[in-house]
Amino acid sequence: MSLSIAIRNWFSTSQSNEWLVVKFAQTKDKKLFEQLYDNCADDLYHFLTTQSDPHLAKDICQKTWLKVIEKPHLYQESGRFIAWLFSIGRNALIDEFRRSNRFTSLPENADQFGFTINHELTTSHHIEQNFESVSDAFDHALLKLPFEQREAFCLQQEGFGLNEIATITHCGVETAKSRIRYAKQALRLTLENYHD
Amino acid sequence: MTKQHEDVPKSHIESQMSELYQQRKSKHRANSSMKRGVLKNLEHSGSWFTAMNRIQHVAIAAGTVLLISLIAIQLHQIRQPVTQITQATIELHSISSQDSNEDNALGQRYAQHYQDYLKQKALLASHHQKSAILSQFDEGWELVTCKQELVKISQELVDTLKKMDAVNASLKTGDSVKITFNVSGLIVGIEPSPAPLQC
Repeated sequence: MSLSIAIRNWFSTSQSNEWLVVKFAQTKDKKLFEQLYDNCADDLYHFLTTQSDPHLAKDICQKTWLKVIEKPHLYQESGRFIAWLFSIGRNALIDEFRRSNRFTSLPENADQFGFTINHELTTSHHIEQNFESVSDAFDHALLKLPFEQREAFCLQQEGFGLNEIATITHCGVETAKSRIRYAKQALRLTLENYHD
Repeated sequence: MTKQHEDVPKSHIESQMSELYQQRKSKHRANSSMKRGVLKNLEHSGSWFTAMNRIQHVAIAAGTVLLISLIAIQLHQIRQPVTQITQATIELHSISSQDSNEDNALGQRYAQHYQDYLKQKALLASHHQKSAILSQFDEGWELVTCKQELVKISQELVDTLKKMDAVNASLKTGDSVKITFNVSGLIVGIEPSPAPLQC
């Protein structure tokens, strides 16, 4: 993996995040960090906002980037930098939830009946509320998804593979897969209902 | 056909989901104040790193200079020709008599141990078993060893030994026997040998 990254860096004109973080760990160069921040900050912030609220997301983002500043050497070159960044952010968010007793994980078999729950939520809300746009309906449905399904869906939309999603969310690949499936089913239903 | 029909809207909805997700993402971007805050932390951390980095560089430079100096000194010493030859003459005036006394004491101790060894060996020779063949049975026994030693035992002694159960009564001429001697070299028993005597 590190070899492939090295080869990619050799040929690419713009530096990859992996190269930037390794160089930053060696030099602590502000410009390198800024480049890294510009490449990933929006993705991380949006993910954390979707999983919590803008205020908490801002705090967690600060903490995450602070960790990158202080301990860039902890990044393992075997994986993508952004996956490492999201792992830090996600762990910090869970820690914060646990501190404030906001985090209630889904039960073991939640994924089996997750769709049923989502289905009920999306249909009932659609009946009750008339959204101005499909975008609003989508946002609402996304935020109504259970935490695990929402994060799995968001991570997939951010371009992470199943293995990376499983690593970031500390679950098995199959679990991640089913979470994404249930999330998509619920969102699809929302969109179909909206169009109807 | 039906499956294809279902797949088209499914993929359409999936792409719509991605579009909507990206739209949502564009509305929620990290603002500049966040970046400023993070960079402020970086500057604080960076100053420490710079200081440590400088110390590290100075330490490495000093270490390198020291190493080069040591190597240079060593090379200089190796290249210097050896001009001074140190000579030491030792004159022997006498040999201390103490050594010869010690040699004598050691010799005496050696002789003493050798004598003890010979005594032990004689004792062992006198108190052991010998294998022999019973050659004559009338009017006492004659026992011949492999070394052609002839041991004659009178009938009285045989009788005495028989009374003491020290002699097996079933022995006959030609039997291989084992003669057991005591510390003083006296015969204390004659027993049949389990294996025939082979000289």
